Amino acid sequence: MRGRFRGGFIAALLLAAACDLQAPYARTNPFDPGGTIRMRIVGPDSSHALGERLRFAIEAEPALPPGPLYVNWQSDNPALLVSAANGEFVVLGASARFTELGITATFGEVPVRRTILLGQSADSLRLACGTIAVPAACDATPMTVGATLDVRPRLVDAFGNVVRSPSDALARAVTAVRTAGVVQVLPDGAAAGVIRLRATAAGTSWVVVRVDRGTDSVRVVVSP
Amino acid sequence: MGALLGLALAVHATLGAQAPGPVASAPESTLVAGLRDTGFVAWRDGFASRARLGTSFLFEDERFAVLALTPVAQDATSPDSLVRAAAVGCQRALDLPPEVLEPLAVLRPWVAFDSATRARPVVALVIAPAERRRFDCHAGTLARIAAFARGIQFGLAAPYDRTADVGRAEVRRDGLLEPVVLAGHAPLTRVVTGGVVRDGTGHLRLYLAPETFAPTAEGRAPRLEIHVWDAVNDEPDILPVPERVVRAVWQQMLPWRARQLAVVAPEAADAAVALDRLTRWPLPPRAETRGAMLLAAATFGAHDDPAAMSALLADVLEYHPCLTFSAAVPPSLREMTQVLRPPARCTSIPLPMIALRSLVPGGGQATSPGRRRLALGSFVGTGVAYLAGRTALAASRRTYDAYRTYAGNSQPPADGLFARAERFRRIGNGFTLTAGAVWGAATLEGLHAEWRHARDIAEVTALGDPRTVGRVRPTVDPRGIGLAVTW
Repeated sequence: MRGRFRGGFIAALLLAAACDLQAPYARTNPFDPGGTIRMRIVGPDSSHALGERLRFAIEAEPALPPGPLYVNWQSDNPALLVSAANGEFVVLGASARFTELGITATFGEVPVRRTILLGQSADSLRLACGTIAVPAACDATPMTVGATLDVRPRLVDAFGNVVRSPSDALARAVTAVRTAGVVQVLPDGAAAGVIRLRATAAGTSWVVVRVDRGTDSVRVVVSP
Repeated sequence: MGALLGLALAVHATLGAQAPGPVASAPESTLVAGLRDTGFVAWRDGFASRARLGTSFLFEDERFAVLALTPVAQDATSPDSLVRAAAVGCQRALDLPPEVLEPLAVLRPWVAFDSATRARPVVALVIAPAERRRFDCHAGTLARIAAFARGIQFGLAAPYDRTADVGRAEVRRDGLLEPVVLAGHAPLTRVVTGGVVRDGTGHLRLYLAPETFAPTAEGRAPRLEIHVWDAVNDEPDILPVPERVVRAVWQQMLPWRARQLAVVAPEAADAAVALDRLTRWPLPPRAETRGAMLLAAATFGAHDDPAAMSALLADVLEYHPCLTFSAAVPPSLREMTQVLRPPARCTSIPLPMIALRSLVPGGGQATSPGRRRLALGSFVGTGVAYLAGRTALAASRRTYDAYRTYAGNSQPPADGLFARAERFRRIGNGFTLTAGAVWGAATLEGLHAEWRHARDIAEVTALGDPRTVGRVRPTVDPRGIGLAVTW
């Protein structure tokens, strides 16, 4: 009985002492190079217009400490994408050809990286024939069977900037000839930055072109 | 008993201190063994060869030092090799030429006195000027004592000082002058840097009967004082002999006293053997020691020697204050036990109660008298360690909070804060564990002490009961005389 009492007392004593001990701390501060916090940058995957502002944020598990954090945001090429504010970037250089660009949020000595696609998408499209200096309606001059006609597109992004490198945009273009057999869309036109049509039979047809979010159509006339 | 011994004293001795004055430099007589001292030489010779060392104590005041030597201690310090070792040990420190070493080793100013007193149990007091500028260069304490016993002191040179020179001395017991069996004077040899100095300073020896150190009939050690006069002043220095010295000297003479008793009372032989056993290696177990001392106490009591009985009882009661005897034990022993019993708690407390009290650190210890300091130490130790742990952990948590909210714009950086928080955490946990350990250890110690206390009480309760008393049977042991005591 005495032995049991003594054993129980000692066990209680040790338990009390153990409960009063401080367990090892978790290294959850994002600025700690040895920390175990998991962080990632969340925000848009890509940019589509010059001058577009991209906002990014840090998502962390466990949560970041409250209050403002002194984080250094940077892109790999500030000439293309410049950091404007806390997690906000402005696109300075982009074209219809989408390229990868890294952005980094640095917590002291702890970097968090992410890659986005930087490019321009067409928000509106205007098609015209003739020359650049004197544009004209495409059905103003009938085509003869076998002849070709270059339709020049004018691509503008969401911020009203002309899309650079339109040939890359035209590679993504979708065309449709409403009256089948009147004209044919030639694939080599995209490389020249135009939509090249060949007259195959006499008649009239609407040709509809869609590039990104911009859509337009032209009417062509083919005479025998 | 004193009368009996007085009959045995040889009448040739000079009672030097009864008439203080100039003391002899050579013994004026030789003490011969009386009837009861027969065999003393053989006893002390056997003691020297087979037993533990004798009792020698050195005590001093500002001017004089006194060395008490029992016969056994005189034998133990007599070899020249000890003095030679002391001299060699001090040779380098004092830059002694080699030619002075051997003369020192064979310097025996007291050989005639020792020879004259050899046949009789007497206690020698060596009274010499205190070693003021002493060098502790001797080869051990025993070598120093051996040299001191011959009046050899090692140290720096000092001019002759008549006020530090020993003129004469006397011994008073409880204020009354004690007879001195033999007294002598010899020059003091000072070994100083570069050589030996004899400047006329002397030292004394007083040979006293062991009864000078006998306790009172109540078992109290007598108040012994040594009055020492220098060569100038009329007022003596009074050196009280420490009580432990008085008791130790008397204890060492008890085996021989039991032997003396056995000469006239053969039934006391068991007690003599029992006490003799206590003086030999290896030391007997505690119970055997206690049994031997009680047996001797009973024997002395039965033969009208209350002083010896009470001294032994007092010694036993010092370690076993709760000792009680059964009704079978002679009333004189029981009554003396009651008289001599020191204040003590002779009840035991249930261990669960001790454990409960130990919930307050040190509570288990505080239960017993004389352990308050330990209890306070346990309490303070636990408290201080716990508070230190709390403080460190609080600092650790503060630092960790700073780490958690670190936003990247201050110093030290996050990893530095974390390292500091962890360091404080470890320190705090260490102190907390220490507090727990001290607390737990105090609890265990309290439980163990109380358990041992209860066991000790049970061990010494109603001793001498016919149903439990055993035999005391001397047995031959290759290492000495053994004694089997079974209760």
